[in-house]
Amino acid sequence: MWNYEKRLQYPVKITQTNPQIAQVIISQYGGPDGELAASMRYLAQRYTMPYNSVAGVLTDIGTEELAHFEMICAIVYQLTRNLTPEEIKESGFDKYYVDHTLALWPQAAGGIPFNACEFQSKGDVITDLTEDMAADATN
Amino acid sequence: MNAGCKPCMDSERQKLLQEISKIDFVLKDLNLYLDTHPYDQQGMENFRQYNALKNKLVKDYTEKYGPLVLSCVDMDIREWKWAIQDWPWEGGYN
Amino acid sequence: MQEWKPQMAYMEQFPVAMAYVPWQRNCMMYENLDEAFKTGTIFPELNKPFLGRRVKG
Repeated sequence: MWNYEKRLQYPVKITQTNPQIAQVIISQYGGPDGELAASMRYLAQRYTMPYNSVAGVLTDIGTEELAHFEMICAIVYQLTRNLTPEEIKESGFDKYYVDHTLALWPQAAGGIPFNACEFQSKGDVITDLTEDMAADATN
Repeated sequence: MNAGCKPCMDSERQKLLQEISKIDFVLKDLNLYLDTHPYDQQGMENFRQYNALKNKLVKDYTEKYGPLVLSCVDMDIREWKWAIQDWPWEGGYN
Repeated sequence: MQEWKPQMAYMEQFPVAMAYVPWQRNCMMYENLDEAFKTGTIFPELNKPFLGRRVKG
């Protein structure tokens, strides 16, 4: 089961808003190589690992990835905090804003919502660890 | 209107939090290492030392500024600081 | 058909069509923990910076 520490793993202090870049960074939250997919991948694969050590690594990394997507959300939140309607329209952020306003919703930059197709969990140790390397090497 | 992050006013608080983050990061990496090297005595001793240090720093921070974990909540019965103090994504002290 | 012989000595232990990831053996830690925190790992051996472009050749 999980506990929460009320701090970010690394600080996020963004002083200048930038909705254009926020639209791209959101992929690190809800996209196929993003931290949420990473967390769900590891936490799903751990149950069928034939070695306790590996179940341990997947559990602990999966947990750490939750802290990572928290940082991404903090980044997007600060990049879009208190935007004016003009800034929202000009930057193209209006497409996201119309459905979510300034809230965080896990999606890829291209608009595809976060979904379990973004990761795989097959029950074979080599296959699953190879999936992990493919995802982590490309994010 | 305030955009971006909340400003951080207290540099002592920021420094202590940074120290906690740094030590916790060492613990996390040692944790992952020990998961695949479960008989490494030196690794376990390192973990024990840094864990003791982190616990002390967290206790310090909790007493001065407010809770970081529910298991170490200072029993101030006037207010439930855990919920009402700023949350880390605001940027002030995170 | 000519019998294919492995080019390198250890190839017999590592059959083809399998993926391998060696275990970390060197567990030296950074002395300066601030540097480790900035780098993103406490193990210098695991500091493998991304160069941001395809490697040719």
